[in-house]
Amino acid sequence: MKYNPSTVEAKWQQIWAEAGADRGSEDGDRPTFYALGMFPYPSGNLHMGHVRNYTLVDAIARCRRMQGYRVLHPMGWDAFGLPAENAAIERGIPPAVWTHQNIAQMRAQLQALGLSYDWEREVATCDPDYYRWTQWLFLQFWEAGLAYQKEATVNWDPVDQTVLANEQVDSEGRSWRSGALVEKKKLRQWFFKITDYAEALLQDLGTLERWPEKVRAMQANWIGKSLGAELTFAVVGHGHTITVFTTRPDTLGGVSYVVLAPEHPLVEVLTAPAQQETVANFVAEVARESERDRTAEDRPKRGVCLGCTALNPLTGETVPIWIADYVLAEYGTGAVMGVPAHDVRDFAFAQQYGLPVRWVIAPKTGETPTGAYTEPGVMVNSGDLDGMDSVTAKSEVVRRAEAGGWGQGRVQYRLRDWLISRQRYWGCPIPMVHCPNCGAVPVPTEELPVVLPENVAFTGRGPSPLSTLKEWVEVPCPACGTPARRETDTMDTFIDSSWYFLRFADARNQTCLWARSRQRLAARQPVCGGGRARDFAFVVFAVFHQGIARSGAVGF
Amino acid sequence: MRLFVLFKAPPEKDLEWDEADVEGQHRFGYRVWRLVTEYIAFSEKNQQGVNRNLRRDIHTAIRNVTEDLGENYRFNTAISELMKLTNALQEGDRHSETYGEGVQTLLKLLFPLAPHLSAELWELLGQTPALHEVPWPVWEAEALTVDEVTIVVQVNGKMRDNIVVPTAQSGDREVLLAKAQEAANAAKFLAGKEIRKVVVVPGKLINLVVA
Ligand SMILES: [Zn+2]
Repeated sequence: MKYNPSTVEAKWQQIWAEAGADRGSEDGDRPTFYALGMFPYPSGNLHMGHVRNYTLVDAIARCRRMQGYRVLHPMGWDAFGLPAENAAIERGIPPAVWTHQNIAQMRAQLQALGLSYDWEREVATCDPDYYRWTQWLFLQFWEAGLAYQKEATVNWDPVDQTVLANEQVDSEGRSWRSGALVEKKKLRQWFFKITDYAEALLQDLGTLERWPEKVRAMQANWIGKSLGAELTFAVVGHGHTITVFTTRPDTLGGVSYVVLAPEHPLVEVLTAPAQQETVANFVAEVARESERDRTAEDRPKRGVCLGCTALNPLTGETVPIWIADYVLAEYGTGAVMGVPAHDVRDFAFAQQYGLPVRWVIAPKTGETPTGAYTEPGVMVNSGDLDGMDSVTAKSEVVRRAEAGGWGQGRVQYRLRDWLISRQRYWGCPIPMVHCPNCGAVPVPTEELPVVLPENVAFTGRGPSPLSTLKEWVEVPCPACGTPARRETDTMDTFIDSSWYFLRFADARNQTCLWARSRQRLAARQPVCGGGRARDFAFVVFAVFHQGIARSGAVGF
Repeated sequence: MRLFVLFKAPPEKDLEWDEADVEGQHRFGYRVWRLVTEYIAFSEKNQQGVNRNLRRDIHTAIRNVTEDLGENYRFNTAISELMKLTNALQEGDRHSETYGEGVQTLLKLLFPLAPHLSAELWELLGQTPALHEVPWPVWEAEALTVDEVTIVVQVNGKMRDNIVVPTAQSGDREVLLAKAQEAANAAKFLAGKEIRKVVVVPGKLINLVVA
């Protein structure tokens, strides 16, 4: 007898399918087990990484079934996103058609591998049945005051007159299609206020013991909690003040300069007439750079001075005010203090521009520091703080700041609010309407889903195809009936994929996202297999949802 | 292919292809196929009772694979365990009932990792219901215990010590000799002497003749 894999595999796959062997059972008192693999982007072909992860999870699922568990082992598709649009532009296939073809092909590949999925629970984030609930989630966030609009920069292709995704901008800052130098442009966009949950997120991530230490360290770094203070410098000769965030209030006496982000609103106000041209050129130049380039560690930092000074609140000395590429407007207060004596980056900056270096902390060994001394030590050159331990001085400076009204202790997170708008077509429509009378008005939940029109002309030029569809965009305001316009931005695909593991538990429910009664089938922390980066994003956003759900702000 | 992926993939490592390894896993699949189909064709099955040693190998495999697949998700070590069980079966006596238990257990444990192959062999073996409906095997602590006997150690015909050895090795001259020389009291009488002759009465005693 010879083993013939292809006949044997086809035979058993059919037997298992007919027997419903892979279906997650809803009833019975048997324990449940959730075997969840990361759902793939339907690029058209499975790669080895998929095959490996799905095979591992499948082996776990099969073992648990034999052990008597009711196993939930589903599969779906992270189906919105840029590649479908690119394919549409390059090959003229509508994104929906391209996506569904790919899904069919990859589903067949998965089935041929004999992976024991419960296909009755299959979901695709681009199906109205699914994104209806993504939109519903958005409205929950809106109701809870956690979705808001503010201006944020986008990549603008001045030739094609279109917004580009970061992936469409090459390493030289040029558009992938037109080759034009990409500009930065401000657009009013949607954000989720995840910063309110930074602490909860950090706490929750700490409880995920099953995640490798490396991944957890990455998470902690991403949230970037730092303890420090906001300190206020008065601008000399103006009524204005500049508030900086620092994790090292103990080095306040060593400040040589104050730096604003080039986008800081005070830049225009404070720039001295003689510096105006230099400053304007620098601001324009920085606007063309990516955030990553601006803060890259291996790149020299650049800046220009504004020609005005600020008062050090601790010493009463005046220091020059600069702007520099490495300060980001969105992070903290958009302003920092420059302490070359105790910060490596500031030291390099000071060397480059001839700014003074003044040590206020010395090593306890009594040595005289030469470069940037970043360790704790003993206070020097700091008046009555001299001789104090620098760690003690940290809280002493904060105490004086609070008493003197020029600052306060602050916890800061690197985590920023989540920019969820995309000026793209192939994504989940944001269910909002802009009314000239009422402003931003939510689409009533009973009118969901706001269906993404699938017959669109695709050129890759000009505004988002959605905004040119008159009959789709122009709707009466849900609140007052005045002619209004639909929001034409779609959501970041991370939102689509941040809650799919919940939907699997109740994939065909037409009346709610998932019924609580199904909760038992979906364990709170499913066993996952998947790519590292995706694992991470998955955990962050999954925890974010859970944190919000627990806080009661959003009723799951 | 499926076995290769599992064998080479501790969850925290990245996967690398290696043709030789793929070939190795194929061979393992075919070895299981040959082992089971030959057993199906073997006409003198179940003519002897329990084989304790083989049974211990079987239940050790159940215990270890259950930990690997059900708790620690260590797929490569699970496959190593299954290879060990396959080796034990290849060397074992096909006449015993235990051998049948061993073949069935191998297929049950292999099912999560190589479901098509094991389901097919299970059916060829004439087992019902189909393998996907069969419960996971449970290991028995009793089967894991090793039977031991006490052997008397004599030096020049006088009893000087006792040693405890697994029953299976109670007639193994090399094992008994090594243990006897390590036994503390016997060692005193052996110190500085040359062993001229060794007499073994299996399961009972070992006599060392020294001068
Ligand atoms: Zn209105």
